[in-house]
Amino acid sequence: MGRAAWAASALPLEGALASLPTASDAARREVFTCLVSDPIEGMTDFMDPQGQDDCIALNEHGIVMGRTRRRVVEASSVGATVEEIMEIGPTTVRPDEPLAALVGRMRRRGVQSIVVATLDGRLVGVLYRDEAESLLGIDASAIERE
Amino acid sequence: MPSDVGVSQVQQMLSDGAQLVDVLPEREYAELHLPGAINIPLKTMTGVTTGMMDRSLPVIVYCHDYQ
Repeated sequence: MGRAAWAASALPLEGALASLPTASDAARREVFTCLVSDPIEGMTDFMDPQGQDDCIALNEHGIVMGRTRRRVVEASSVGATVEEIMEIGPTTVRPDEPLAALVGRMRRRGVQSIVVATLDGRLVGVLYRDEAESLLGIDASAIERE
Repeated sequence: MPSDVGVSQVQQMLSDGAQLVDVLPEREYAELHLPGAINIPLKTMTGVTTGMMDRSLPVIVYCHDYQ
């Protein structure tokens, strides 16, 4: 085990840089999750209809396997399972990822949200760029006016 | 006899009283280290610099990389 593995498991660190915000600090922990084997029928009743509409698909061991969104669920056949409609192997970042740099990359690439997972693939949460920018004190509207 | 251990094993060993040593350079230790770790940079590791270790307890040594 190295220091990076410890940090990537969302465990605390000490030192001069320990107080800098990371992906873990901004990630929303309360996210909708489902099993890859779940039927999609009825899912939209539980998903947020405004904005943050993610469903993170996990396997039976709690490992992130995929991601889907409300609009995809709504457009899919009633008899489908999560595994059949999900985005397989979504992009994830580690909990110890420096937040400011991550937000910069997300903005340049037009990414609104990203899954935060530990080194072994366990879900920490979902980071939404607008919330992360607020945490960092970034005025997103000022950037967009430039 | 040294052996590789994972994060959960490290946590268990620390709760059982193991000693934790960060062998990264002093500057890197100052920036970030595991709670409770002491710093003995690898290049300075000798019988003298490790003299304070309790030989009756396990010692966990770590550096930067993922295992």
